[in-house]
Amino acid sequence: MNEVNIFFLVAHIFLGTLGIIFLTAYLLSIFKKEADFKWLKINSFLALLSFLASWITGGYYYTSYYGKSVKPVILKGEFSWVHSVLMETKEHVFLFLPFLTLTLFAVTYFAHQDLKKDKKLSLAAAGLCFTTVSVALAIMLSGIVISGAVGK
Amino acid sequence: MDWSVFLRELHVLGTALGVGGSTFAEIFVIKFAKDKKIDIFENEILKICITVIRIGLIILTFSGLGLLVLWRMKLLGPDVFYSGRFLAKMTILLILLFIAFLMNFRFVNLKLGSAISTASWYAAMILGIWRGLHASYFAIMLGFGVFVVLVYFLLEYARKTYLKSK
Amino acid sequence: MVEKKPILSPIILSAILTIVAIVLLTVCGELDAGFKGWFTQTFSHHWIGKSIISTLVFLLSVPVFYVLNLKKISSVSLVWLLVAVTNLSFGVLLAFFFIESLF
Repeated sequence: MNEVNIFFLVAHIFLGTLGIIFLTAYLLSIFKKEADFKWLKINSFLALLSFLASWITGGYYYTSYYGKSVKPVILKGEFSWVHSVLMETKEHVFLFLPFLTLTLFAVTYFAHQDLKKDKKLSLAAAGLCFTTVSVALAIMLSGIVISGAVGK
Repeated sequence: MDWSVFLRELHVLGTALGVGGSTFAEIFVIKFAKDKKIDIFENEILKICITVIRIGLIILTFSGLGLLVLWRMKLLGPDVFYSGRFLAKMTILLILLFIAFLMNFRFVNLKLGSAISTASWYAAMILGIWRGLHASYFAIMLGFGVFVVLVYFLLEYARKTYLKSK
Repeated sequence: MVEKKPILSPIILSAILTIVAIVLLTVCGELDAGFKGWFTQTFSHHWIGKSIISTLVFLLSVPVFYVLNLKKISSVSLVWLLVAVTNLSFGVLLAFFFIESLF
C-alpha cells in the first residue's frame, strides 16, 4: 500500500469516527434542560461535513485500491463472506449517512424553536440521530472485521 | 518515536483517564451518598469525572483505530483480529458504550450501570495488558460476566460499610 | 420574511426517497450484470455511479416535493418514517448480500 492509499484509508476512518463523535455529542445534549441549540446545530453540521469528507476519502481508497488489491485477497481466504456480505453491505449503507446527517442538520437548523418546545419533535430528532450513529458504528465495526480478513 | 510507540502511549493515556475517571466517580458517588443528597459542588465533581472518562474514551478510540491500521498494514490478519482476546475486548468496549448511553438517559439502574461500566473499564485494561492470554472468546466473556457480578457486590459492600461508618 | 420550515418536509421526503433509490440501485445492479456494467462504463466504477445518482435523486426531489407542498404530513411523522426506512433498508441490504453469498 503506497502512502497516498494509507492517507486516504486513515482519513476516511478518522473522519467517519469524528462524525460518530459529533452525533453522539448531539444525542447526549438534546434532552438536557439547558440544551444549547447553537451547539446542536454546530454538532450536526460538523457531523455532516465529516461524513461528506469520509465519503470522498473512503471512496478514493475503495475505487482505486481496495477492489484491485484487497478484495481478491479476502475472496481467496477462508473469510470470503467478509467481502461478499460485510463489505458489500458497508459500501452501500454508507451512502445513507450523508443524507441522514443532512436531514438531522436541516431539522435542527430550520426547526430549532420547535425542538425546544415540542417534545415529540426532539424525540424524533433523537431517534434519527441514534439511528445514524448506530448505522455509522455498524459500518466502523464492519471495517475492523474487513481489515482483519486481510492476512499474509 | 515511531507511530506504533506514539499510538500505544496515547492508548495507555486514554486507559489511564478512563479507568481513573470511573474509579474516582465510584469513590465520590459512595462518599457523596452519605448525606443522601448530591449538592451543586458534588454534582460538579461528578460531571468532571464523566468528562475525564469521555476524553479517555475519545483518545482510546482514535489511538485504538490507529493501532488497527498499523496491524492492517502489517497484514496481521485473522490470527490477531479474530483472536478471542481482541474480540472480547471489542465486545466489552461496546457494552461500555451501551451502558454509558443507558445511564445518561437513566434507562438503567445507576448502581447496576456503574458496576458494569467500572468492570468494563478494568476488564478492557486487563485484556489490553495480558498479551499472553490465549483463551476463547466465550471463556473470556464468561470471566467478564463473573467479574461484573464481583464488582457489583464489592461496590455494594463499600457503600454499606461507608454509610455505616461515622 | 419567508418561513424556513416549508423546506423541512421536502428534505426529509427526499432523504427517504434517496435511501430507497440506493437500495433499488444496489439490488438491481447485483441481479442484472448489464445494469451494473452500465454504471461501470458510464462512471468508471459502479459505486461512484451510485453515489452520483443518489445525490442527483436527492437534489432533484427536494424542489419537486417543495412544489407539491405536502403540509398535511407532520415533520415528526416524516422523521420517524425516515428512521423506519433506514432500518428496513439496512436489513434488506444485509439480508440480500447474505442470501446472495449462499448461492
